[in-house]
Amino acid sequence: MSQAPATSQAMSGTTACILRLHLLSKRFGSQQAAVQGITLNVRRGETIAVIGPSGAGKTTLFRMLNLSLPPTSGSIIFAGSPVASLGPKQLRAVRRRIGSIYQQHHLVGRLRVLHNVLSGRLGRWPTWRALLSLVYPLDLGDAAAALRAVGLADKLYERTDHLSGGQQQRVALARVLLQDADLILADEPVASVDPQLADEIVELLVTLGREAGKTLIVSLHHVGLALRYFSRVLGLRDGEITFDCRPDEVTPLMLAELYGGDRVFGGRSRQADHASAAPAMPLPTTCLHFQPPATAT
Amino acid sequence: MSSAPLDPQHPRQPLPYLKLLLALVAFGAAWRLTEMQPSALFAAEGRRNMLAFIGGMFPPDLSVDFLQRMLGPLLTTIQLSIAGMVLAILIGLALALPAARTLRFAGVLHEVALRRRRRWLLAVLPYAGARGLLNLLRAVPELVWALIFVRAVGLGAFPGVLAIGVAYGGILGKIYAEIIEGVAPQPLETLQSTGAGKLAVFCYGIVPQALPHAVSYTLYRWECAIRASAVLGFVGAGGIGQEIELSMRMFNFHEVMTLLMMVFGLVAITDLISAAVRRRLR
Repeated sequence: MSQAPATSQAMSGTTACILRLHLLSKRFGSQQAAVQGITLNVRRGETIAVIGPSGAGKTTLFRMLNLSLPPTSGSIIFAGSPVASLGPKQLRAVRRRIGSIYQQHHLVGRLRVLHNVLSGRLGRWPTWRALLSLVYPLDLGDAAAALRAVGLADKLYERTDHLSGGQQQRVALARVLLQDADLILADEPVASVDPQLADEIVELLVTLGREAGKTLIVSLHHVGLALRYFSRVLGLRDGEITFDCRPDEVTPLMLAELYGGDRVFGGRSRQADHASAAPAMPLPTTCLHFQPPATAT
Repeated sequence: MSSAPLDPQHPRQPLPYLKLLLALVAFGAAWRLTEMQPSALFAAEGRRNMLAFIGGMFPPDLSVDFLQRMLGPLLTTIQLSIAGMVLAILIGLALALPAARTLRFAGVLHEVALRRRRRWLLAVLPYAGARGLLNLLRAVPELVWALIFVRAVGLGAFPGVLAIGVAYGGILGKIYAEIIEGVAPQPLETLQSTGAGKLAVFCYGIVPQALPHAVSYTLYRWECAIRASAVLGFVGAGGIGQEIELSMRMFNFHEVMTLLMMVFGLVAITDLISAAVRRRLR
């Protein structure tokens, strides 16, 4: 697949779009593609929720977006530069501008909280400072401030794996704050905490992100949270985008089709859909005002 | 939806008991080839010799004079084991870093490097070299290393230090490499996604995860090193082993008993220390 059109597009609209995906796909071995042909433009300051059933490819998409997983085909253009063409040093620089929060928070449990928070600075620090900081913590004031912002001011010196799941997720949030990334990705950040806490953490994430003018892409299990807190909602199913709308434009029908139409509509499997004359997957329901901003400017 | 009993990905083994059969054959062959004769232990002559040996051990020689004389060799053994372990840790670390697959050419940290064949070669060669060297160090028993080093640098504790350092360096290197390969990769990916360099990912992600296992295993090896240094004394590598050998040769079995009790005490103390350290590391 040619990458030329995507690249030339990127040249025209670098200011408004922080992230452009062009026909992004990922296939593991000979399995069905986990993500197929996603084309998406993300403007600066947008808060996007990605919803969809488990196995829809959300995690694969996120790992490609934070440059942990190279795509099988298609291109990612971050702030105007196609990621595939970056050398190791430039790749590090781009990674620094993308902050990630995972479902299982993926902190280093045996390190104290402050080091996990300060690891947000690793993209900025030269190696010698990173090593020195393990012995003599640097930027301690910033780490304390970030922890205060997520409501964990008193846990600075605690060992990370002594905290509860919700608290660890807040530590991950504090780390992203310290990283001061332009784009914050959160993959199911609240899937493993109780509903009330989930609400708090998502609200915290969106509020802190908005205040600092960050772009946010968050995948969620909980549709209610997605509709309440975000400015744009994407439906992802079988690795494809099924709709891309403002929250108030999301209809119950869209959601029903997103979450296993077979269950809602009485045992009609997707395989049966393929066989019928109707298109297996309706084209993404796209709301016009979210068309590529290149045309708008 | 057919729930087939046979999963195509995990076909049923044609001979489910083949492995058990092979194990039994191996055991039987070992029994034959090593000429196992448990009855020989209880034959009249064997019994007499054993009784003489064990009987001679009691009472152990606890005279102040003997104990004072043995204090030096005892200290030598402790120092030998510690110096040997320091050397082993250095050798082990130096070889584990190139021998850990995840640090060389697989895993989270290498998705970019993989695209470049030149780097791949630069990674595979040190890996193969380090693994080969580790195997060589482990293949030669520590007793043979001791004999080699006694020839090279003369009698005394120093060849013992070298023997333990080299033989245990091979063991520690392999274990360290495997511990490094076994750490959870997700925190490493997270660290990398913040833009951290490789050394920073190593120190923030791999070291904290690997350290407790590495320390705990190293302490266990230290315990083994104390026992080994007692054996190494037999070939002239100093310490308490040399005294055991001397007393054995002079048929002073009650002294042997005292010395064995000392080794037992040392091992027990090592065990206490390592248990305490492991508790703190948890």
